[in-house]
Amino acid sequence: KLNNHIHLTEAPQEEIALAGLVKSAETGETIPSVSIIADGKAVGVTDVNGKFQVKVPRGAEVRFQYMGYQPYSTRFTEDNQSLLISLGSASTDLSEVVVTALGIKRDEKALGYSVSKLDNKDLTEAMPNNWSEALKGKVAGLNITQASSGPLNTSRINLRGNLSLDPAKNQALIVVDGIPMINGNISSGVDQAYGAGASGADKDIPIDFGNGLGDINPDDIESITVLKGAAATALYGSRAGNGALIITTKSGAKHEGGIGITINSNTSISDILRWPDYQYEYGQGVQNRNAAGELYYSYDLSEDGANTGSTSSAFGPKFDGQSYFQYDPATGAQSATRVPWVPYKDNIKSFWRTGTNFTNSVALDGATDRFSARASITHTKNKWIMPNTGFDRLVASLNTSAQLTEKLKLNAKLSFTNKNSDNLPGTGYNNQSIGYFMIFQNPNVDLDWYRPIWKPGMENIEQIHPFSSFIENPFLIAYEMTNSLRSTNLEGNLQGIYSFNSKWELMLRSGLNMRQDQREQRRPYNTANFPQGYYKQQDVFFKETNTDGLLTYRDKLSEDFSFTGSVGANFMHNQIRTSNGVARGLMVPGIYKLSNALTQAVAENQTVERKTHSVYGLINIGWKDKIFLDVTGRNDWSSTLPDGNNSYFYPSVSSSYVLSDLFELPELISFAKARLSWAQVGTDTDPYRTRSYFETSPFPGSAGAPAILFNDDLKPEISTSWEGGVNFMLFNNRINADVNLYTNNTVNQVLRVPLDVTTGYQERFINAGKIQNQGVEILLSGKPIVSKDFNWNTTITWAKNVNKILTLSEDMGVDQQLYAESGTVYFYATKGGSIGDLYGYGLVRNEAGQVVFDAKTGLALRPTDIEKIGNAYPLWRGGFQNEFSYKNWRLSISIDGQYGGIVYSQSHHKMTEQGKLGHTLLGRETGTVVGDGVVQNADGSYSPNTTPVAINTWYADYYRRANVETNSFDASYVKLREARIEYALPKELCKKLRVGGASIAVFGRDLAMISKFPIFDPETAALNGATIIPGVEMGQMPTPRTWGMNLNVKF
Amino acid sequence: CTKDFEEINTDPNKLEVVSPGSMLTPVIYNMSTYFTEQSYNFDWQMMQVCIPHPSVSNGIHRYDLNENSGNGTWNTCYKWMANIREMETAADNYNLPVYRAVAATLKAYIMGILTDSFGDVPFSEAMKAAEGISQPRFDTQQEIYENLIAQLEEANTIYATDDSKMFGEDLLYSNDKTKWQRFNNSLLMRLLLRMSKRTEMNSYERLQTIIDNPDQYPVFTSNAEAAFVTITGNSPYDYAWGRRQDYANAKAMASFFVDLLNAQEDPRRGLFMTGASRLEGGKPVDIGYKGVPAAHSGDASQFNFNPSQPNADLMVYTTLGTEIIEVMMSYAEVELIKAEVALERGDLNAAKAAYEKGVAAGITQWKNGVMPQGYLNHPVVAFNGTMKQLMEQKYIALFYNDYQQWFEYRRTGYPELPKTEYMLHDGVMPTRFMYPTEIRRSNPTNYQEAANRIGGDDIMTKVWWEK
Repeated sequence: KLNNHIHLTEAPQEEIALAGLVKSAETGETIPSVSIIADGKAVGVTDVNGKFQVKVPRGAEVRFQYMGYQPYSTRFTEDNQSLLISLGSASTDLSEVVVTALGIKRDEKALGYSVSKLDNKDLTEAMPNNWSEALKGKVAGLNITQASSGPLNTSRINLRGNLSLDPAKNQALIVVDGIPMINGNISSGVDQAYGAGASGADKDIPIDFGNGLGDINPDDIESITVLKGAAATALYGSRAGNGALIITTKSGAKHEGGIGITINSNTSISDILRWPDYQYEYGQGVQNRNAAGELYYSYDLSEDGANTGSTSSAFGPKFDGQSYFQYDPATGAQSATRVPWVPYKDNIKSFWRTGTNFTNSVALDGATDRFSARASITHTKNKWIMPNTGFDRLVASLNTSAQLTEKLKLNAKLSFTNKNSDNLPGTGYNNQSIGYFMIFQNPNVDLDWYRPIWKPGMENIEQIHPFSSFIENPFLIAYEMTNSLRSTNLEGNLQGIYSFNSKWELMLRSGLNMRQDQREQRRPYNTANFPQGYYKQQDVFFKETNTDGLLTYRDKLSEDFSFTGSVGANFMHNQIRTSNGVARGLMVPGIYKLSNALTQAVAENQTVERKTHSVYGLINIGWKDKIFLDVTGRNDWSSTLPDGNNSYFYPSVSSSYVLSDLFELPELISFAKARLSWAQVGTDTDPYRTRSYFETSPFPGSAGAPAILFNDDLKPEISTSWEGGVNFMLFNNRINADVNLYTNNTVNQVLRVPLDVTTGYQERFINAGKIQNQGVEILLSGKPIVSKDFNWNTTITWAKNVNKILTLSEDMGVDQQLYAESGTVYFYATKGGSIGDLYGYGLVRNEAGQVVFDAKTGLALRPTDIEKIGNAYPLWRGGFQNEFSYKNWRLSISIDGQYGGIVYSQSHHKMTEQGKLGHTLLGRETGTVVGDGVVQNADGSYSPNTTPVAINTWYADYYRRANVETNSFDASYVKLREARIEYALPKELCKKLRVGGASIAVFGRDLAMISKFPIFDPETAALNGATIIPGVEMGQMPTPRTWGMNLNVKF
Repeated sequence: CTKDFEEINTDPNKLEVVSPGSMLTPVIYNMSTYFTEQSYNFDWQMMQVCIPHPSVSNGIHRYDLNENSGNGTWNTCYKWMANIREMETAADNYNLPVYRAVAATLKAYIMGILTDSFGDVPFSEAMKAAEGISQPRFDTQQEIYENLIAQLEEANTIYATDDSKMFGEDLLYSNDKTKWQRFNNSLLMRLLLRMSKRTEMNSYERLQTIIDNPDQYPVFTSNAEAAFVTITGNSPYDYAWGRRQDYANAKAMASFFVDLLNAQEDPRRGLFMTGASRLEGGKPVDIGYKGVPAAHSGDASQFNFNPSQPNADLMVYTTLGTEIIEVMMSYAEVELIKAEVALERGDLNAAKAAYEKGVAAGITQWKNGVMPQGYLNHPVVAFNGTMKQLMEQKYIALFYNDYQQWFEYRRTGYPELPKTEYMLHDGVMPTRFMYPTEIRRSNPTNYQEAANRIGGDDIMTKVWWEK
């Protein structure tokens, strides 16, 4: 060194100017923050676009280095203004660049909070209808709930448990290329999944018309960063209080031939994962006996006895080779002679068909030094497992980037989605849902008898439903009670980045997200709820604009300290408008136009608008690349809060310590890092809660008294969280472990809570409660086998969240608060309890835990009050992914599951009451059941129950709808979520064929399940309008099991 | 940067001010529809009109009431009392005193049902969450009655003297103030009679004053003036039942009611119910009208016939647009009140005249209800001057009129309902609903005080006017 110095002083110091761009050799993407070192001395870093401009001594060794890449060194002897430096990936992926809040790319080791990153491959390898399903089991702490509601199957994505009691909240924010996306689900108009027997204006069922989330084309996604905690999302403010999914779409890259073409073709078929245990040993009836005391059957009155053919129960005679007068489909009446009494074991299953899904996409991309673009078009044709349901979707997107001048870069993105469906299934428990039919179908009824739909000559006027008039013809449900959708989504943004110099940079961006849904619901004549038909048109318009500005300063404060500081602002404006036109009754059957309304068609409109203005700032400081500190602050002004409370500030601090660089660690630890962060997030509320409004009334010239007591002093909700974690790699990076602990307290929750009706209002808005979530997230990944030809990668994720309600509303002076309900299930928030505590009637037990029966009737005693039956949320969830590769073959298998949590099943209640399930075979021989338990004697002691009860009464009573205990089940499950085998064409062959790469794969999704849940699938929920209520099943539909093939060719 | 926030956060969909008339129709439709349904669900079983069939065990007809039985009644009454509150406010704001009177009339109708069902209930402090009262006290039933009666008297004066006009949607009387006045005073009669056992309230005397002064106290004089709500089934005026199937399926008329009607060859039988049939030689044979006894043993095999069921064409037509009526208060009730007052006084002529008008009105109020020739001379129908006969006719006349049959039974003990060993509470008729359990959580202090005062929050506790 000394020599060097002497040498340099001898010759005069001469500097040369270098400028250019640093890119990744693999992806062609520019790399920001690359350190540039000349003869061991830092001379600069690349800017956000990977550009640099430095002066170095002539002939010095210049080294470009960046975590995760192999450093590149060279010497320059003269000025060069157009250098293109490509860095190859380091063989060890010690650290990764991740996209964080506001789209800022960061070195993962510098982050003081936990993030999870997913690649395109994670989403597309075993492609589900709704890409978000592919996240299941892959991210610790991420929970997806769906209502088994058809092909679009809206997802509720939650991270780290529920912060809010409001079941409509608690969802992660989805950000696509920096712009928050519309993820709003708008109810089709009915907000209860249980609707059977309802009266009044709308007697329909909820329909899952999907939200915007499902429309993202997974082939366009480059990566997803999951920001789980508040520290990670503090810069997104209010809306990301429940975490965020940062989606980065693909952009154009340089290709040898100038243009890259990728063709992806995905074909899959679906059947049904699992069926309930239907019984096919006994037929229709309610224990009707003839004069000889034998069970008999008679469709309509016959010489055998009175009609027993209109019940929905299957407590009739055994299928024993005998014959009865039955329904004759040829005449639509009683058969002329007795015909054999047989079960039709396919009379539910054969209603369902093999679903098909074809997704084909073509993407073109390319780049020059100054311009890059990627265009893709993807078409999906889905025919779902229920007949006459499915959708067509076309997504076209364009992503461009232009370096207009050395200093100015423009990025523009546009994505267009067109989604059409002639019919999406209705969900829930009411006559119009297929779930209802499956419950009510009797074992002795052939499905084919329903197939003609209408009685001959009575088309559109009288349906064929020859048994209970409660059951609609299933083909009528599928082909006539349709729910159609025409949806158009437009999403785009324009971004300009101006680099004043290597230190100062300004970004301006404006994004638009717009969606228009045209929905229709058709209900024919002669149905239980709509004797003269019904027709509804619903137009939904969403629009959100976001305009951001961000000014950034980057510098080295000294040899040891690096610094980045930014200030920014955001203006958000959101509008949702729903217009309904309803014809409650039709003049002419079978014609669905508002002009065909029996009386006047009714118009209903709803407009909701909000604005949030924000300023924010962040500072990142790094010390010797070993310790990193981030500080952020944000102030929001929300239109939804009252003047005086509508401005709120919240800060965050996070820090990261690279232990393996700070300390001398044992050799087996190749990398170790610790994280610690603290953050606050403020959240506003929904619009129009600060003034009193009269309720709209369906009656002309009328209104209803305000049902909800307004609150003109609402305050923002604040949640405060701590998070700490460690990440270490062992055995030369063969094992990677990441453990994370967090605790989060939310106070001042804005809640819409029921108010005792005697106060003159039914609900009120309050700030209340303190809710705590604490949890652990563990990610373990390893490479047990690494060799030239054979590799095995494995990943385990595990997460546990404990939710506790510390206090409830103080100003209401109560210890319990109802916040959601579905059917006879009530969700109460109790001080000391948890969100998801499911309340309802249970059984009465004595001190010894035995069920107490009424000695006289033999029926279970009914408790006087509801009690906690369980909790809807699991104790933990985990996932296990494996990938094996051998030469050109790759096998991946993904398993995930949850432990704990319960689900109340309306299907179980009703099918048990009606004797449809296998477990109701108990007691058929004697016709009675004696409940297993005790009766109380006059002296207070207990003796065994010996009173027999007629079986139909027994099952109806012990499993009555209100008995949440006997109809709730452990929701634990393990699913074989994905399995896939891929063969990639060898490189030499590709060259011969003149393709860049090609692969073919077969895959399966949801192939097998282990679960005690008695109906289709414990992964379910009730869809209450637009709100998904976990822990409740209301007439669910089956879960598809999917097999598919994937072909990928790159030119 | 927040200057337009206030405007943005003003709901463009909902109203901040309303006229008093806009509050009216929702109250009328929702109260009458709910209580029509409840009459069917609750009163019919309690009063042995109609029961679930089959009914193996329990059920309201066996007096199997629980703490939730009154929830709907409680919630519905208070929910629509909020509209009354807003009507009063708007009446003052618009200086339309007539709507103060309408509010008083409807309040008496709603609170009357509520206090007769529960006893002491929140009243003077109710409806006042906006004024900071989130745990209202329970008024005694006597206080409530006195207050309602005073308000009806005041309303009667307003109807008679104030010249402000009604406008807007009025499902009941199409803004006919004179009919509202008759409804008001008819309700006054109902409330006074209900307190007849409380001799200190001088009910019969006060009723006599009303009867003697028809100019000062106009009451119903025909079915055309009665508080019948006409419902077409066309949305939003939907029938009370969403599905016609829910109406007749799994129900059987109770033999007490059917036998009573059979004994007097009542012309309403065909309107109220279907015929019964029995299988003979493999063929169904019409056996007239026949019910099953309420609170039977539970063994369905004892019924070797298909009993009469409720006739869905009374309330739920398949053809929407077909008018039906829901009863808030009938003209027949007014005449039968008059008959009772006369009987009490020993004026048999006046009693007979009123009785006959009441019986006739109770038949003709129903669509297709025709008075048979000479029906008032039928041996069972012909007036015999007994309270038993009067109350049996009133029981039939109060068919489908919320819980009035139950209230009147509790006041008079008529009609004499058969008891069975399968009834709970030793066959003694429950006399009130328990308060909704939710109120124990939301208003614990006042709840406890009221429960103690009335003698326990129990279904067998007698309310003030019953003691």
